[in-house]
Amino acid sequence: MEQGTGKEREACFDQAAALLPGELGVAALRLPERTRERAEELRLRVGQPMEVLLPEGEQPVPGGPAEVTAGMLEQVLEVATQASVHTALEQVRAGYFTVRGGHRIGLCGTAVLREGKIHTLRQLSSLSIRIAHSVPGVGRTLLPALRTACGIRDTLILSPPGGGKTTLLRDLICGLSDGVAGPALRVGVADERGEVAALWEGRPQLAVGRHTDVLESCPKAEGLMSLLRGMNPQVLAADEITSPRDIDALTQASHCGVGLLATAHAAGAEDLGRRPLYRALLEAGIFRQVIEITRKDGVRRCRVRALEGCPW
Amino acid sequence: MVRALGAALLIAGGLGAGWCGASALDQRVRSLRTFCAALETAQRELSLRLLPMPELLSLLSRQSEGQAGAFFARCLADLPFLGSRSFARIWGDALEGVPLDLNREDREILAQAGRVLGRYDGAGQEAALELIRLRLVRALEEAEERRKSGKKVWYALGITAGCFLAIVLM
Repeated sequence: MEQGTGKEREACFDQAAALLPGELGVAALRLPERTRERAEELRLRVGQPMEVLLPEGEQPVPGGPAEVTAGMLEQVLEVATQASVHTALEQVRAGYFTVRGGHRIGLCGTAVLREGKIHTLRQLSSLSIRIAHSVPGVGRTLLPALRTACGIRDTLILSPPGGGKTTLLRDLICGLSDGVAGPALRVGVADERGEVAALWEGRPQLAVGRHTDVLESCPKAEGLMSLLRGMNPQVLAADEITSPRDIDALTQASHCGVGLLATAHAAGAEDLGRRPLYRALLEAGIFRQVIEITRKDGVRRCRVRALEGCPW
Repeated sequence: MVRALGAALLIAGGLGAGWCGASALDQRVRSLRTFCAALETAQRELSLRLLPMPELLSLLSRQSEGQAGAFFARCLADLPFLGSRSFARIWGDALEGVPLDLNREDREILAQAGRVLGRYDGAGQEAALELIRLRLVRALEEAEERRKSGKKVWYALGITAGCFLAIVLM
């Protein structure tokens, strides 16, 4: 897979590092240019030094405090939410939230339960900032496999967490919308977590193409149906299909003559077929092909596989 | 004639001094009233619209008059320093830095809001703000009482001092 330009990735890293308070932020911004370009995540654990996740693994960030404290994690939360934790609480309950620029902040700590559900996290213990970045052209070679004469083949992108599903989805959306390898298509994106387009004051922070309509912060199921009713899309896209309601919405949309593009956590098609939730999705025959992203020696590879004839 | 004019001026000066003392009491009441209204708006916006802090501060700075408006504008202007300063500190610094006609107790009550805002869910913040607002309302009632009696005292003192000076100096 191609990588984005070093400068763009460095700028994304700097934007994410700006969420870190005081010494942590200074140390992160002092990392060598090459490290900043390749960084995928910044990881903070109470009692441990801050680390940066690179394709080859986690490395300590030199020059920062010897130990991250719980207070520092709270400061990150305060900076990331602009002192408005209440606006992110729904997402915090799910364990992560998305900030300006599309960076995802994952949280761990002591959960406070109410009526058997996570209400909030009382004491933070660790935090990861996953750096969002668009990789222009990463899906270009895959576009011919997606396109048909008048639309696209319904396609599901699969990889384990952190594999680059969202980055690939974003670039495929951009290519379809801008008319790369075929005519430009109207794409509707149900961007529940704000990670695909990262809207800020109505403007996408990450490139999603000229003919793309984004519905952000809306549950995927409702978002997909709303886009279908209101925006007359030729392609509907959604990131991380995780619930039966998402699958119901995709099933409904698939019967409306709209192309579907979505992502799910799975090592591959076989892995997906072993899980009851996705097994139903595969059995319904909604998706005609999958794109599997694998990583070997720090290099990501994509493979398109047809689903016809698979024993689901 | 000149003596009468001088005496009148001295009495008017005393009355003016009394008026200045009384207006300080007015200003505290006005300031407390504006902050009570602002906290009520904040409660409503947090419970109904879950407004993010920058938008909430912007709204409060536009809606609040005089010193309270300047206070919220200062908090908003300092928000980019989050990370090097906590929100509670930014709020506290604005309480210290913006000239407000409030006494130390009033400022302490308001400082509590800085430790609550943006830290909890909408309902939690609303409940905490309600307690703070009620304390501020009590401070407002006390200030109004003090103004009622204090104003008379200031005017009486002013006129008395003016008359006394006129008698002594004429």
